Formats: sequence, structure tokens, C-alpha cells
Amino acid sequence: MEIVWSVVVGVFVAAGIYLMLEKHILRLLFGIMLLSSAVNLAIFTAGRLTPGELPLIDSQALLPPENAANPLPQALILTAIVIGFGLLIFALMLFYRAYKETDSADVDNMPDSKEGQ
Amino acid sequence: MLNSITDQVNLPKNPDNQWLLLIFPVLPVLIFVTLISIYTPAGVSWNTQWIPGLDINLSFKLDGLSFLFAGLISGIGALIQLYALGYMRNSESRFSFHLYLTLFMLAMLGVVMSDNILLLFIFWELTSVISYLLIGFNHQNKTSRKNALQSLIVNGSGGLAMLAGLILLGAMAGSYELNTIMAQANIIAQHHWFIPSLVLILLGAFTKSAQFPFHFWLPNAMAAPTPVSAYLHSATMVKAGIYLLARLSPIYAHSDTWFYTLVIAGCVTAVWCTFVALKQTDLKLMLAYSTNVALGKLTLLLGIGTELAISAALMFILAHSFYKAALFMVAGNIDKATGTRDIGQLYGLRSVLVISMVAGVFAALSKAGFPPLLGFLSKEYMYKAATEINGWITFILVMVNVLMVALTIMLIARPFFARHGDAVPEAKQVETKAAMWISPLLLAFGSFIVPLIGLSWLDHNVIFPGSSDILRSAAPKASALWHGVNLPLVLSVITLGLGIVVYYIYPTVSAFFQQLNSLVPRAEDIFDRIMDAMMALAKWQTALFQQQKLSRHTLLFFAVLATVLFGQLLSIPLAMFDPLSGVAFYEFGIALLLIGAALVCTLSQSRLLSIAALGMIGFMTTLVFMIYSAPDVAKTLLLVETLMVVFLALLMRHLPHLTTVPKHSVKRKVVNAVIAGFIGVSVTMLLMAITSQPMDSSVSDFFAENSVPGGHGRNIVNVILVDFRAFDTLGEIVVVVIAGIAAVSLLKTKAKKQNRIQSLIFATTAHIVAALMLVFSVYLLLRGHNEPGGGFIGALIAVIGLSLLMFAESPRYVRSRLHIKPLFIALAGVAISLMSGVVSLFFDKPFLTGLWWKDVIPLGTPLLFDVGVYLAVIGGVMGMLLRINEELD
Amino acid sequence: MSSIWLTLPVVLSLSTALTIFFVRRKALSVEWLSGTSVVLNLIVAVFLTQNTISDGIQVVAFGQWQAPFGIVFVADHFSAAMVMITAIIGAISVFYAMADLRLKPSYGSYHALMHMLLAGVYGAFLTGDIFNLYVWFEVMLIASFGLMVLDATKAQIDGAVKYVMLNLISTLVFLLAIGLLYGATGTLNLADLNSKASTNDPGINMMLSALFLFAFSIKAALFPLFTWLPASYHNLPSGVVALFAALLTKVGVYAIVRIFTLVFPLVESGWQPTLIWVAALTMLTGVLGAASQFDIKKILSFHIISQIGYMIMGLAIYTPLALAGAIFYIVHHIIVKANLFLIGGFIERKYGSSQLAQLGGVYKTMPWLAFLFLVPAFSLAGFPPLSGFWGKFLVIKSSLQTEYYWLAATALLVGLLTTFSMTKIWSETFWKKPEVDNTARALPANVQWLYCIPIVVLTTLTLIIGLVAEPFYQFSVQAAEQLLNPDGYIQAVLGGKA
Repeated sequence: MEIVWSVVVGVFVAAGIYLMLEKHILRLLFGIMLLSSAVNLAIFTAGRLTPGELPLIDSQALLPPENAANPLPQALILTAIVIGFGLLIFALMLFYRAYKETDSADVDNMPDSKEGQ
Repeated sequence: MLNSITDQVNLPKNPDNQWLLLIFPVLPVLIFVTLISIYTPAGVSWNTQWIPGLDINLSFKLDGLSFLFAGLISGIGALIQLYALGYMRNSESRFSFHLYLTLFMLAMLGVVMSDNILLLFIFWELTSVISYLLIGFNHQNKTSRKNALQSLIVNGSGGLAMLAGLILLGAMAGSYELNTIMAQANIIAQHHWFIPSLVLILLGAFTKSAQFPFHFWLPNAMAAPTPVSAYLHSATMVKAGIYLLARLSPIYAHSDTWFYTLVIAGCVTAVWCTFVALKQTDLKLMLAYSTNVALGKLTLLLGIGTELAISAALMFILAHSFYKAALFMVAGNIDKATGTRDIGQLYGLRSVLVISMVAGVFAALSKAGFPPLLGFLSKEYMYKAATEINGWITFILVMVNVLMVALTIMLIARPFFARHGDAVPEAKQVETKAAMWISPLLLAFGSFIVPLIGLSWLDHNVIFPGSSDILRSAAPKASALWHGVNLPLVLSVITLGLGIVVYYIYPTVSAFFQQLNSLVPRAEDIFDRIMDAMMALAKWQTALFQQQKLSRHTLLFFAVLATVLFGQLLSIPLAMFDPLSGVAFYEFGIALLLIGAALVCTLSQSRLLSIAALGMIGFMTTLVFMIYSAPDVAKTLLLVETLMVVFLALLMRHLPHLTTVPKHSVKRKVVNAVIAGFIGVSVTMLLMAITSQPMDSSVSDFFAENSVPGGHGRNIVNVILVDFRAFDTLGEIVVVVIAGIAAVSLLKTKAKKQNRIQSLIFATTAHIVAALMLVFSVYLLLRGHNEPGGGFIGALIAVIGLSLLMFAESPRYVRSRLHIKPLFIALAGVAISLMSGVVSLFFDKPFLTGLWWKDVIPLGTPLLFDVGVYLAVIGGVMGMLLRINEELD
Repeated sequence: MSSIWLTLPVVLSLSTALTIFFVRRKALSVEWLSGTSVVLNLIVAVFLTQNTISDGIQVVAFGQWQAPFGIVFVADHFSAAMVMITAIIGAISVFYAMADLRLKPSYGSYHALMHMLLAGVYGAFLTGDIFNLYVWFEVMLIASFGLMVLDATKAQIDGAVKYVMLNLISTLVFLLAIGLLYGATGTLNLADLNSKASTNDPGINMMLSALFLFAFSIKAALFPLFTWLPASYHNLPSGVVALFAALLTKVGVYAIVRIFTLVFPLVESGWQPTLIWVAALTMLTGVLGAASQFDIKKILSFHIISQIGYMIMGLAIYTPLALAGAIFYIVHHIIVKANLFLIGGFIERKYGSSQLAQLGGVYKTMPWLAFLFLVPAFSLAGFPPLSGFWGKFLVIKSSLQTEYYWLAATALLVGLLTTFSMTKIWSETFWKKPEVDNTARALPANVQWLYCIPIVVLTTLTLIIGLVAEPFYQFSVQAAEQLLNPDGYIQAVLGGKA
């Protein structure tokens, strides 16, 4: 069943990249968010998907149940989500500030300082 | 005594400085004396290790060839330093001038005495650098700077080529030490790198010794002060290339490539530069071009490579250094005295610059080849060597010498002996300072004395050993001034005679060459054009890559990624894909919804719709995580998504509509779509291929097995986060906190706006809900180690609760309720997590080892760690939220 | 417990950063904390390097969870050298910042963020776990974002947007690659990946390594993914840009070297030919870019790119000598590049501009600065007997020996062009008479010292490495051999389970 989600990941990646190639700062941001989701899903899928049991150990047992999901990718994704969130908010603030400074939401309209003649 | 030498006017300088300057001429004298005393014709060597790993050692050898050069470098060096004491008297930076000259001398000595080819290279490059600094000494002058750069570039490129050649040579011989290389000469001759290394080394030698077509930098180097021209660009540095050719002759000289290249290059250089020399009117330029000619002749001789040719070359090196240095110094005196070097304006100086005249005349006679001076001796041997080989070479040599004789006569006759009626020229008293005339006079006399009384010493110590260094089989006969009336003597007489004739028709000759020269492209122009082309290329490619537009940057990046990925796609075996078995209907459903939402977000023109689509994606993804048994992830994602929507909603009203920005062209959109599609497809295929194989779960199994015994927790994911892989989590909260700090620093308004949702019902419920959420968040924090929950989830719940409060009341209200600045809460959180890890250091265990008070209550440092995480996330996110709310309407 | 030396760089830097944030309004406290911390870190780095040389590869398993399950920090010769040089540059930058950034409103935050950045760099150099590498990359990245936008002007914001966007792409692709690699091998530990990755299908490995190469190439500013660097670096304040220029791209280079020696050994990965081309093009485009600029900071920014090409060239040739050359080059370049930026910053502070047209005559006013500039400038260009020459010599010699003649020729040509642009700075700044009225600003004495002592220290280091090259050379060779033959590393980390 990872095939289905692989396709979803691919679609997200494509959509995210397409948006990141756009010119409006908001669309760039949407693209980053999509790509971020794509990567999180990809990690999850790569860790193999088991609809089975939660990776929790019962109070009497020493081991989780037989078909427990793979805990490691879950931890990685958690970390990635939080880091991504921090970066995303920062990017949002940066784009907002850039818009305020240049009065333009067009990333192509933000001039570098003059390149050496 | 010093005063009489420099005739010091009252310059406001510390008198001690003057004594200090005396070191500069004394040092070379000491070196010279040392060299003579330690030298024996069999050769003296000395070495010590420097970088044995690379076989680059400080190996020095003083044999006949190097003795000749070293003697010239130190001897003439002393005289030049003395001359410079007078010449540079009024210069502000005279101390650095002398210093540079000394450094140069040491570098040059290093070149000629190195017994390791890479050590030689090091000194070689040093001479290029110091020459650059010296040519540009009058650095305020634009021409000086330009010409200095030109010499550095030309010499530098030659040097780099030479480096490659020397590396190849060393590789062929198995060592960089010259004696080993010499021993391997036969093996080297057979190697396929023989010719390439030869060509590369020749490039180095030709650039340094200004052979055609690299000759143009030398006359341009005349922008340097005259002592520099006398020392570097006539007597020493430019001969370094000749030295190298001589030194490596035993390896390469037997090859035809060597013979033809050197002979042709030497002849062409000599002829070409003679022609150019004859149209010059500046004394220094005339001398510079004649130096070019001399170097051409030396190259020619080394190319011929017979016993006689080599003896001639050695003598010529000696003779030329003597007379050329002297002539330059005389020219310098003329310049100082009259303020001009233009030969058209000089006349009648013989009454004013008497001693210079004497020195000049003798030097000129030597240059012209008048017996019994050194110049005559070397010319004789040159003719001897040439007549042995080939008539054409002899003819060229004679022609060149004839013209050079004419030039020489012009050089001396005009300034000193020409008359403009009875007018006496205006000239400063230059010769009152002894430093200005001692050196040229000594050299001039040397040209006269040495052939008369020093020949046998010269033979024994220089010619014989030097020749055998260059040509193993050489066994020259004793040198003598008189060999009876033979062809060379006749040729010498003809040369002198014709030279005098040409002198009388000089203006015509000069004009002829002016015209001739204007038809032919100058090598320097080609150099300039190459440099301009390089600059144009540089500008073009910079403009190409330095787009102003961000979208072009991103396009480039993703295009590269697409190419790189898609190219590999075909190498993935296709037979690996599992059939679509066991996929439930609802899984399909969710997948389709996700895809749909993604497409909506991509294509929509409304901000609201896009954000809604993103929210949908977030919530659907949460469902996915729930289905596949990832409760903590699902909850975290849900909370994060909620917060994202809150943030975006806050900001959305302040960012313009999506329609305000011009779109890409259709063509561009297609390109974007294709690239995005390629990458998407590649990732899908890759993911499918990877997941079709069974997974190696050894690592995950370990976590499962050790979660309770070692980690004291039943929520494996949480145990991974705060114990097994706690360092990751520590880094993560650091990222969140810094992101918060950085985001806050982007919004620096003082204005504190109040965004309130004005509704009493909302306000009251908000308080209650917020309180409940805070309690709930602490509960989740505490239970997280054994049930779904944990620091992150708890913190995010708390944040949502606090934001409710913020919208109900005001940011200020929340800030006062928190008592401590959010930033400090966050920092405290990170500090707590850090400390919980550091504690274990005190117990001599690695950082972040979990310590449990387990026998009493299951409390341990990982729990403390989680508390730190909790606080850090609350502080970081709340800091951002509060500030944004304050900033915006 | 000798593993303490592996832990301290990161922990110390993090603690310092946190404490400085607390007291950031009090400049004096900030400076004491900051200065003490970097000095302590220097000592730690020395001990670490010494232990690595005498006792072999150092390993610490955090939380006492052994590899490949827990996170480990590993110090082989390469990592130890990187930590050492980071400590030196960190110390230099902090003291320079005390002179250059003193007057900025967010002065304290600058220091704190610098320490955060250093923590990330240390972590990246020492970690033996690939996801942990990602975390430290993120710490570095967000700290650099923070430094970029502190007290930012409009021009700086513009540069920051490009910088952030393009680096986010790198980060996302990196994370994707890690996830996929984990899926294919089941482990995150670098030493473990050495054996597990080799059992993958080669096609999959090629795509995975492509993703890693792409992500790291952005970070390392390789052709053609370097465009973010000149667009953003020249707007930064000098105190910051020296740190960026010296360290950030080198972390990218380090990551490429580590991945392509340990996880996907270069020769089997199929990327060697591409890497050779990339190295050559990087060298060329960087130096040509520099040749067309007329501002000191921009020229130096382009040179970073060009010199990275040399380092990758060493990796691409993949012989012990070549890799030793690359490692030597990395160390030499960090010192020289930081020095040049510091000098540029000092000139800008004194004369108010770093544009060549506005400058001139510095040789007369500050002749000692002229000497201090000449040394790193010619070292960068590769003139012997300075440090740059040895690095260039090693890579050129290896490329000749392995018969990559065109590569050697390119490397030599780029050396010549580097000379050209270095002498341009020299000529226009030091030699020529200023064309505009340009008097030097007087600075208080202690500020002047704080500017100049770092420059003198770095110049001295360059001279030492150049003149006493043998021990550094031997060290580089050992580091290279450790990299090319990872059994020692694997043994140390996994304890014989390899």
C-alpha cells in the first residue's frame, strides 16, 4: 500500500515545486508548506506503513504488540514537523517584512543591490 | 663618511636611519666574499629537510654555473644597492626600496643555488612577486601599476606552466632533487611525458627571459626606478630563465624539439627586438630592447648547445651583466641630471657628467665588441660557435650585432658628444655623490680588466666547471683573447665597421623600422586583447548567473535537480513493484482527497481557498497518521496545522491578493510544470522502489526492546525523543527558539495593536477553555512517557489555549499573565533540557544519559528534559504569536 | 573521561548562547561571556585534536546508547581538524565582532547567535548520525537566518529572501534524502550505513546520492547552485560575513566528503566524472565572477566559490594525495578567507566604503596593513611558500598523476586569474591615489586593536602553515587515508561489529 502514498508524495512534491517557482510570495510559502508535507509523508512511507498497532507497550508487557508501527520514523517526523514549523513561521515573517519594505509581493521585483558594474 | 657618499641635505629624518641603510650594500658584499671563499670548482652542497613527505628539501649547491650567477647577483647587487643609496635619496620609501632589493637578491640567489626543482620554483615565484612590487614602486602612477600587473601576469602564467612541467619532471625521475633527476636522464628521455614537460618548462623560461612572443613585458618594466631596471631587468631576474635552460640542458638538450625551439625562438627574439629597438628614443627603452636581444642570443646559444656555444654563453652572461648594468646606471645619471631620457633632447653632457661618460664609453665599447673588453671576448666565441653550425645563424647574428653596435654608439655618442652649437646643457650636479658614479665605473673597468688578467681564473672557476654542468661531455680549451686571424675575428671587424656605417645613417634606418613596425601587430596588443576578452567573458557569465529575479534562481536549481534525478530513473529496476494489494477503500479516498487539495492549492487564484486547501491537507494527513498508528505524530501535526492556519489568517489580510503579481508566461508555466512533474515522478518511483523491499528493522527493534528496561517508558516514540535520540530533540528546540527570536526581530514595531474579538461570550468561554487547556497540557506532558502525549503536544495545546486568551483579551493581558517574557521562558526551557543532559556528566557518564531515581519513584532526567521541551516550545511560539498580533491589525 | 572533549564544543557554545541571550542588553557581560567561551572552546579543541592524534578515533555515545541505535559523535583526523579550525575562527570572529558590531542595536544578540551558529557547526563536524547532521544543519541555518536579519536594512532583507528560499530548498531535499535512505537501509548511523547502503540496488543508490549531492552542493556553493552566495553575502556586516564565508560553505564541503567516502564511496557511486566537471566549472565561474567585480566584498564572495572548486577537485580525484590536498586546502582557505574579509571590513570601517572606486592610497596611510593583506592575498592565489601553494600543489600533482590533464590546466589557470583579482584589490585599494576625497576615520585605540589583532593572528597562522608545512601535510595525509579506508572509523564506532 505504500504505492498509493508514494503517488501522493509525488503529487505533493510536484505541486510544491511548481508553487515555489511562482512569483507571489504567498505562493512560494504555500509551496514550501506542500513540499514540507510531502517530505514528512515520504519519511513515514519509507518507514513502511502498518495499519496495525500503536507503538505503545502495555503496562504488563515488556514489548509492544506484534504488528506495532515503526516508532523511529514517527520520532523523525515529529522532529521534522516542529523544525519545519519554526522555519516556516520565520519565512512567513521574512516575506511579510520584505513586502512591507518593497511594497511588492513579487519576489522578482526585489532588487539586489546593484551588482558591480 | 656616509655623508660624503650621499651628500645628505637636511631631510627631517632620524640620523640613525642613515647608518641603517648602510647594511644594504654591505650585506651583498659579505655574501659575495663568502661565496668566493667557500667555492671550489668541484661544487659545494648543503641540504636539510623541509617537507620530506613531499620530497621538497632545502638543498643548495654551488657549482660552476650557479657560482657565476650567484657571484653576479651578489656582486652587482652590492653595486646597485650603493647606487640606489644615491639615486633614491629623495624618495620617501627608500628604506622599503632597499629592503625589496635585498629580498629580491636573496630570492634570486635561492633560484640559482637550489638543488631541488620545487625549491627553485618557490624562489622563482618569489622573484616574480618582488619584481611586481618593485616595478610598481612608483605606485601613484597608473602606468607603473599597469605594467607591474602585466609583468606579474606574464611571469605568473609562465610560472604556473613551469610548475606543471616540474611536477611531471619530478614524477618521471622519482624525485625532485636535481642529482637524482640528472641520474635518471635516460629514463626521462624515454618517458611519454618528456616532450610535455619540456614544453611547459620552456614556457616558464621563455616568459621569465622575455622571449618572443612574451618579450613585451620587459620594456614595460622600465616604469620601475632605474636601479631596479639595472638590477632585475638586465643583470639578474631576466637571466633566470636562461639559468634554468642551462641547468636542465643535460636532461633535455639532446632532443630535436629543444634545438629547434630554442634556436628559432632565440633568433626571432633577437631579430624582432633589434628592429623595435632601433625606433626607440628613450634611453631606458633602447637599453631594454637590447636586453631582449641579448636574451635572444643567449637562448640561441643554449639551443645550439655545443661546447663552444656554451662557453660563449657563459662569457656573454658575464659580459652583458657588467656592461648593461653600467649603461643603465649611466642612463640613470643622465636622467637625474637633465630630467629627460629622450635621446633627441640630450647633447653635450661630457663636460657635466665626466665620470659617467668614462664609464659609459667603456661599457659601450664592451657592448659593441671592441677588443680587448669582455664584450669582444664573448662575441668572438659566439661567432666561433655560430660558424661551426650554420651559415644562416651566423648571418642573423652578424646582422643583429651590426645594428646593435649602431644603437650603442647612438646611446653614448649623442648624449655626451653631440653639439648644439656651443650651448652647454642645463644639468644638475649629480656626480658630487660618489654613490652615483662608483658603481658604473667599477663595472666598466671590470669589463676592461677581467679579460686582460682574469681569464685563467675565470676559466678555472667558471667556464670549465660551468660548461660541464651544462654539457656533460664539455672539455673546453683555455679561453684566450687572440686566436689568430680567423673567421670570427673577421666577422668581429666587419660588425664594428658596418655598425659605424649604420650609425651615420641612423635616422634613415630608424625611420625605416618605424614604418616596418607599424605594419606588424604588436605582441603586447594581443596580450591586451586577451585580457579584454577575459574580462568580457567574466562579465557575461556573471550576468548570466547573477539574476536579479529569485524565480530564475529557483528555476535553475530545480531544473538541475530534475536533470540529475530523471537521468537516473531508468536505472531503477521496474520489476520491483508490488501489486496494489490490501489497500482499503478509505485509504484510496483520503489519498484522492489529498491529491485534489494539492491541485486546488496550486491552481487557485484565491488566497483563502489556497489556505483552506492547505488546512485540508493538514487535517487529512493527520488522518493518515492516525490510520497508520502514529498517534503522537498525528496530534502534533493537528496542533501545528491549527497554529499555521491561525498565523496565516492573521497575516493574510496584510498581504496582497494573488492577482496583484504578474504571472509567468504560458511557456514558462509549462516549463515549470514539466520540471516539477519530473521531480515528482522521480520521487514517487524512488519511494516505490525502496518500499518494495523488506525493511531492515534492527534499529527499531532495539528501541522496542529497550524502551521499558532502559528507557523506563512505554511510549516508544516519546522515549526515542527524550532518551534514545535526545540530542536531536535538543537541537530541534534550539531551532524553534532561534526561529522565534529571529522572527520577532523582523517585526520591530513599537505600536501595540489590540486585536480583540469583541464578544463577551467568547471572552468568558475563552478564559475557561484556556484554563482547561493549560491543565490538560500539563497532564499530557506528564503522561507522555508512557502514553501518547509528551512535551511537544502539551506545549502546543498550551499555546492554543493562550492564543484563545490572547484573542479574547489582548496580547498585553497574556504577557502579564505569563509574568515572564516568552523569550525567557523559551530560553529557560532550553537551559533545563541542556542541564538535564549535563547532570550525567557529573556522574562520569556521557552527555544526555538518563539518570533515574527509579527505586523510589520513576523520576528521571529524561522527564526533566521533556519539561524543558515543553517550556521552550511554549516560549518560542508564544513569543512569535504575541508579537505578530501586536504588529498587525 | 576523554569523551568530554567531544561533548564540550556543542554544549559549551549552546550554554554560552543561552546565557548571552539572558543578559543581552549589557554589552560588557556579553563580551566577557562570549570571549571566555571561545577561549575555552579553543582549549577544548586542542585537547580533542591531541587525543585524536595520540589515541586514534574518538567516539562518544550519547545517553550511553551504543551505535547504531543512539547518536554518536566521532572525531577522526578530519573532524578534529575541522573542529580545531572552527574554534580558531570562532574566537577570531568574536573578538572582531567586539570591534565591528559594537554599535549595532542588537549587539548582544549578534554574539548569542554567533555561538548558536558555532554550536551547529561543531555538531555537524562531529556527528556520526545522518539525521543528527540534519538537525545541526538546521541549527546552523536558522542561526544564520537570524544573523542576517538582525538590524536589517532593506537591501539586507532582499538578500535574506533569496538566501532563505534557496537554502530551504537544500534543507527540504536533504530531509527527503535522509528519509528515503532510512527506508532503504533501516539505519541512520553513518558507520552502519557504510555496509548497509552498499547492499542497495545501485540505481537506487545513484538517485539517493544524487539527492544528497544536490542538497549539499547548494550549501557548499558548487556550480551551478552557487548563485545564492554572491546575492546575499555582500550585504552582511563584516563581523558576520567573515564567519559565514569561512565556515558555512565548508560544512557543505565536509558533508559531501563524509557522505561520498563513508556512505556512497565516490568511485562506486558513479558520480566521479560529474564531480570532476563540477569542480572545474566551479573554479572557473567563481574566479571569472570575481574578475568582473569592483567591490572588495563581492570579489571575495566570488572567490569563495572558486576555491570550493579546488576542494571538490581533491575529493573528485579520490587518491590519498588528492584528498590530503583537499583537506589541507579547506583548513588553509578558512584561515585566509576569514582574514581577507576581516581586512576588507576594517578598510570599510575606516574609509566608509568597500568599493574600489572609493578607495586608494592605503599603502601610505597603513603600510603594515598592506603587508598583512599581501600575505593572505598571495596565499589565496597560491604563491609559494605560503599555505595556498601547498594545497594547490597537492591537488595539481594528484590530477597530473591520475592523468586528468585538463583539470590540472584549469586549476592552474584559475590560480592565475585569482592573482589577477587579488592584485586588482591591492592595486586599487593600496597603491593608487584615491580619486575621491577620502580621509581615514580615526578609531579609538582599543577598537583598532580589536580589529587588528585577529588579522595579525590569522596572517601569522598562514605564514606558519606555509613555512612549516610538514606536520600539517602529514596530518592531512593521515586524515585522507582514514577517509579513504573507513574500516578504522567503523571499528571505532560500531566496535568490531562491522
